[in-house]
Amino acid sequence: MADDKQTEDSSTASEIKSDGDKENSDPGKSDKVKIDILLKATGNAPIMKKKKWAVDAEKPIGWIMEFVKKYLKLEPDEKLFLYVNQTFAPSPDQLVKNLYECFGTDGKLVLHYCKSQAWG
Amino acid sequence: MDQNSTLSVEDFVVAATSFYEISNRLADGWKLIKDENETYKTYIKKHTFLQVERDGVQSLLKTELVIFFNLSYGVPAFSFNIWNSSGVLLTLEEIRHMSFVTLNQKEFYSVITQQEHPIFLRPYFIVHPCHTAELLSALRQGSKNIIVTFLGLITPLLKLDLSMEYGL
Repeated sequence: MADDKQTEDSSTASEIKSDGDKENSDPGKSDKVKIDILLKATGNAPIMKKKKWAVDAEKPIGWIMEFVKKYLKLEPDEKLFLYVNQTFAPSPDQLVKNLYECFGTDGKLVLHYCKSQAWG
Repeated sequence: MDQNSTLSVEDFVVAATSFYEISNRLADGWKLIKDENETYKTYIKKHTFLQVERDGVQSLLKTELVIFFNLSYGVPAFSFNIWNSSGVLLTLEEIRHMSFVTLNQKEFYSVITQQEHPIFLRPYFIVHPCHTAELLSALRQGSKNIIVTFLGLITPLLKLDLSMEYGL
């Protein structure tokens, strides 16, 4: 990942880029609204070197889950769960902007993540 | 596993009651059914309708969701039944196609099983509780309501449409 060089500096948010961005390659859409998210590990989940990310406000939570899974290099059979307020796990189709409106604090959205070997 | 990871019946009833109160505030329709004599039989349930689309066909499904206490594992457990508009119970295979995550048969069937419900003694689809404790123990300290947290394990499998206000 291109961000690896600046992992030491976790105070600035860098953008999550993914293959998914190629799909909506509208030339005029470069000024998308970004939301800062802070990813925190709980339980036995490995920590992320870079915790703060700027994410397209229109992305669903499921997309962030996939990103974190890739970033942490989880096994395909490991599941990842994202929580807001350490209480509520939003549905994977929920949009980042909606969560930010509801749970955002100090200009960012804090998400806790944990992993498990299985559902249920 | 340390004792912190499991829930006592009393913890469950407290969490269920507070969940019920949040639901009332949001008019979300969850009901709390308390059993004063046998506390472990306390459960919360909701009857609702799910709108699903498969192969371009919209259908409305009647759903019964029940959260009860699993005495052996000491965790909340999730059970449900879904009927189509002619009153026929959905098969596990049909439910698998409705879920957010694409799981193969083997994986899905290892998580959800149709079995006799410990409280109702009728067949229900029950989500296996074997990993629930592990995950809840990770979030237990910070959680405002352990049942809301627990439902996070279910949302990828089944569209629950739980309002975001449960997390506030």
